[in-house]
Amino acid sequence: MTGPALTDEQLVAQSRRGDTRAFEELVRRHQDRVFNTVCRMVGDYEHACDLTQETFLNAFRGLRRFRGGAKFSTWLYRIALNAVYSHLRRQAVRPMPASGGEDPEREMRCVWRGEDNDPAAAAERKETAMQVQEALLHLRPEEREVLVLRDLEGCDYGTIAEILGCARGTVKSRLHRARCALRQLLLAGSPPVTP
Amino acid sequence: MDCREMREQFSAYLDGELSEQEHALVSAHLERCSACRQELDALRQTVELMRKVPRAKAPPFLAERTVAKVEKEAAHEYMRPLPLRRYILWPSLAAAVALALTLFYREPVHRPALKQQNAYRAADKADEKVSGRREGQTELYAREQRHRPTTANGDVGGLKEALAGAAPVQKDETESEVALVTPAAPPAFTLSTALRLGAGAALTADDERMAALAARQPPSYVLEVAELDDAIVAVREVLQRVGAREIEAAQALADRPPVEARERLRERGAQPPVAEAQLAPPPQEWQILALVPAANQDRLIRELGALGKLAAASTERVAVKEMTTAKPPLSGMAAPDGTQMNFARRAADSGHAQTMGGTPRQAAAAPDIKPGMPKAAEEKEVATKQPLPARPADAAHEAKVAQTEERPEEDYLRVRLVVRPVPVRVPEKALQRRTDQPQSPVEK
Repeated sequence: MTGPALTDEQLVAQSRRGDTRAFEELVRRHQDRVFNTVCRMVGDYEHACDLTQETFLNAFRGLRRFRGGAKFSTWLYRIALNAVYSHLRRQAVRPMPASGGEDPEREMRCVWRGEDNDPAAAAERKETAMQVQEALLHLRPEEREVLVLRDLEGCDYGTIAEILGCARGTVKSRLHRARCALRQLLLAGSPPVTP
Repeated sequence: MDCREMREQFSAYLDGELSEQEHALVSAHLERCSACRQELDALRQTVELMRKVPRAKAPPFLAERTVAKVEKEAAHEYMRPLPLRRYILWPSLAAAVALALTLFYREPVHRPALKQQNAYRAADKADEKVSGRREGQTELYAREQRHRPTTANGDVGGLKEALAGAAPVQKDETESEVALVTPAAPPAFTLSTALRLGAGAALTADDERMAALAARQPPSYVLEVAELDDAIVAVREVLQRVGAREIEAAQALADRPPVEARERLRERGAQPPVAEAQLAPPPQEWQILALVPAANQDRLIRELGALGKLAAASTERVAVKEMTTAKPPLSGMAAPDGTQMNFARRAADSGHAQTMGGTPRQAAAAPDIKPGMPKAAEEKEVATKQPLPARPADAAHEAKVAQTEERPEEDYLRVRLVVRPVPVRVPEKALQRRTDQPQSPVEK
């Protein structure tokens, strides 16, 4: 029913009419990017699963508000980040656990679904990922989100501005601040793996 | 530009997000400044490190589970019975209001405010011709009312005002006695129209009703939110918690997608078919007029502030006193049915804050709320506790009023709240974006 040729917009139109198969296709297309975003934002696998589900449910509920002015993925990022912020607010009552105290394996399962077959390279990437993820969690959420969207999701500045509802100049300065802060954190912690 | 300013550009430089001119500037600086070159290298290392982090992949079961939930919800959505308020409560209220107006005013206001229903409009005009009424008559009536001597209690001016929204406070001292009569006719429907239209009368007259409302009382607060629909639900919950009584609310027909709205109208047997373009204007904002207990104003501000960016648009929050025999409305949401409420306007500005209780505390509680427009300050001279001029004696109505037993008075503020989505600025496309910079590895 929903061939691969259909665009997101066509699938959205079908989903709006109650076609859950079409929505399923949208979920399959976009779940990785949503999952990656929320996972990096909250740094926890279980929560990332929940938040991804929540994002798609909210998207489904809000489909009629999606007017096609933006790309579906842009709109979805915005919903995902809203879910993340709600989650962070809920979490704010109990401070984020220091990552040392957590079970690192559980925490990093989301980090580690790499495609490497070479064990050495895999180990190095894993090490890098853990360091970066830990540093990310020490940044302020608004810095974290621009870093995730730019460097992990590969969005351009215009898209990020659209997702966050701010000016492009804001994205530029915030991203620069975030990168500087990340670098400081990586330098302060265990020495970063040099590329 | 000095080194510090240059370095601010480095991130965008690496991302290829600088204009050609800016890029050339930075490049030229880098050629002669070794410190900045080092700085750029360090930043580049950080970025490359970030991009080495693998993308997290959603677990395979997630899509299935998500879709199962969505399907469950979709099924639930389609099985849900017609919403009580939309299909039963509002039409009943519309009919009740029309009935009350017809009985008590004997001056039915013509024309449903329904742009797209030309056929109905034509029919109504025919009605008017038959009964010998003319367009200007309501205004004549209102003017006549302004010059009637005031009588104590038992008037339905409060009802009229409650239904029509707050009348602008007239500044002329000499007219202070009659300043509280609503100068314009309430937006209502003839009984025949209400009965004929059923639910449509309440639902589709929305736009004009809201426009009329907007003209009568400036917004007290403007709340900017991310998601309008969610916020409407949340705002209603907040109002319920603070014990507010809803007077009027936009029903946000505009929020419905064309298909859904068209089907709904068809269900009601609305004829003639409504043009699609008229059914789906983008939802710009939603508003509600409510009576908020003055004592709960701080709480209202606090709770609304938690929903989004709240700004006080005007300090004109009209204080009213309620003397009623009515039970508290169900869930705090019922609109006044016209026979139970009697409002007297008391004061119109923060200048009366001590008696109104609330406005200065509000400023302290929510320091980010800006002071109101200066216009409000001019209006604070309006005398407090003015009795409302009554409409002509109506035996049936007075008998009803006589039966009412007074309850301790409560202070209410009439608050008009406008909820609108935060404007999303569409960024100008980077026209001269360079393409020779390393692009990030992901995204398609």
